[in-house]
Amino acid sequence: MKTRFLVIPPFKIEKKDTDVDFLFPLKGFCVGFKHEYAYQDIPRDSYVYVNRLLDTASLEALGNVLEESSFRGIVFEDLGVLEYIREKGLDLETILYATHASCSLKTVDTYLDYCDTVVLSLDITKEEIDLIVSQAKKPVSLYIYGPIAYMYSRRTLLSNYEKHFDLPVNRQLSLEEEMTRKAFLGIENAFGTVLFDKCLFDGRILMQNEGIRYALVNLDWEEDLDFETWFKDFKQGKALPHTTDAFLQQKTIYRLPPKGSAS
Amino acid sequence: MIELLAPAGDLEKLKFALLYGADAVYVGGQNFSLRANAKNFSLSDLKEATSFAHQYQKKVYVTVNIIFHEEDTIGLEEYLWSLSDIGVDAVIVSDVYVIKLIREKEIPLEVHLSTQASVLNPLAAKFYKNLGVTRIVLAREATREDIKAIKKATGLELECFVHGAMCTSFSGRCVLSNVVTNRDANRGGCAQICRWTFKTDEEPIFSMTSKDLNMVSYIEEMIQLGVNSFKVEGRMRGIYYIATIIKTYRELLDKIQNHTLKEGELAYALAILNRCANRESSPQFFEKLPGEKEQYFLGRQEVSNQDFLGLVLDYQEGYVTLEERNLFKVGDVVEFFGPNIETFTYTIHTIENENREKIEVANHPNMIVKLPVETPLQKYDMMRIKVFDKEDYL
Repeated sequence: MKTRFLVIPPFKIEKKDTDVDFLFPLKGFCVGFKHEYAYQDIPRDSYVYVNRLLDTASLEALGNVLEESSFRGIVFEDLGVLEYIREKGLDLETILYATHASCSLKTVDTYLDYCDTVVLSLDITKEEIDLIVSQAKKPVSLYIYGPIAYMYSRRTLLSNYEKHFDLPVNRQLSLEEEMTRKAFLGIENAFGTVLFDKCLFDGRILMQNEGIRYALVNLDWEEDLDFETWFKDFKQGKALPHTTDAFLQQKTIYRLPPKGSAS
Repeated sequence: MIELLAPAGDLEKLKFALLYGADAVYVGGQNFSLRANAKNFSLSDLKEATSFAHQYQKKVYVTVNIIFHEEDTIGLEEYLWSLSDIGVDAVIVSDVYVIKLIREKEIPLEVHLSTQASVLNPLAAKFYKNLGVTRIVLAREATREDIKAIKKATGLELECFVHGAMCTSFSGRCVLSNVVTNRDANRGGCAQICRWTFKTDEEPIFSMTSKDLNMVSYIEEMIQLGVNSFKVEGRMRGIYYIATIIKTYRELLDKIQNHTLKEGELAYALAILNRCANRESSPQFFEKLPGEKEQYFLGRQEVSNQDFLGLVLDYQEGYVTLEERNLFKVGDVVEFFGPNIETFTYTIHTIENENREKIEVANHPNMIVKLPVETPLQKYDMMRIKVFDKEDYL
């Protein structure tokens, strides 16, 4: 099976490359994107992205969109979307991207009982990802390039801050944690706020795995891009500036060492 | 069934929570729970806890609510069987694999879905119902419309947080702690980065600290919407906090259900609860999207007080024996409260030390003192500074 690329474009791009499909963040049902697309503007047979956790009314509204449209597949976070598609018998490929919840083979296999593929979380190491890719009961998918989200709040944190201090509201803000100087970019819309790493995630090393269903490439932060050239360079492994590999080589801990032990 | 559900970080807190009126407690074991650095409960503690709770026809729920990495799944099945053997009343889980494992292996455990799953709509709830959960702890972001719709569509037991700290993010949708401190938030290591401060290109500094949750004014409506369990946050909190919050909510729930709540009692309850907390609170998402007034903007803004003066150890022959917790002195006006007494005011005229010598001030932490008190008291009662007079509210 040949891996296909699901590319989130920064603007409408004519599809030429045969191993690429476009994935469009659906306006009104996404958070943390600079570019979103009204469903009428999304080409038929494309994939749509719905990354919000959906309240009852929003899920009903999304259901109406899905029934009217003819998308090929959907990438989603909220399991209500999956249940809607199942109940209505919609012909849509289901791609679950539970951002922080697909961290073990057993969890991923459980999700795969219900959907077509699962995008693995990026909170685990390359070794853990390799294990899941090689042993999962169906081909899994990987997010391999783009902004990496570390926090999703329902609150409008940026405009709350801007209103509080009487600053112009622009719904994007660069942040630097004061002690560690770790840099983030916050992006907000009416449905919430997402904090991203200021650097883009580059996980092309994960493409060494065989049997990946989709490789997600997110170009939402790009403003000016010759896609064909960029993508050719990208596939050929050309180095990209300002990137991070997140936790691929950095295992997290959750128990602090006992007091007095060497750190 | 209406249930008041309390947090318990250890056995002592569990006993206080149940004695002060909780119908059930939720606790973490020493593995697989989201407060990895708390004291937590060994299997032997869980056995004692369950036995204690069941004596009073009350329940114990155990959190098994981390997001599992592969290495964490080792020993999980054995642990779940142990919990079942102990007779805990339910496990609270967020990872779908744990639900599947319990059902496939036919482990006799009731499964509650953790708020970490952030359920906000009826169809997500149905997905989990079909997997085998019997209760859902809804996302703190759920509105009254969401609660109503989920209840109507699923008939599931619904549990909602009513009091305590809030995550700034959707629960389970934040790994800031992982990034900044390498401590894994979704496996119990959260370092609460959302309460830290950040520089921006603009002045002043950015922070996103949320105020706490407090649903006192909406309890009656929540009962009508079909909420079954009213949950208080705070497994890391102390006994005074737990006793005060649980007693207050117990009285409110009982009076609301008995239709005996007097005008002014809600305001009095709010005054007591707000005094006990170290941050301001609001109803958060139930009615509207929280805005700037539901946040702090200068990092952590927590105020602690020294209201908890002493813990009752014993009462004999008109004298109460107290373990001091904060300074008090002759002349102070205080209150005694407890699980089985009406709160009453008391003016300190005499303090005796352990040797029955009269002293003016109790000023050493944990010192044992005796006070003459006419009203009989019991172990587990508490003495606090009198700040509010209930009569002023009625």
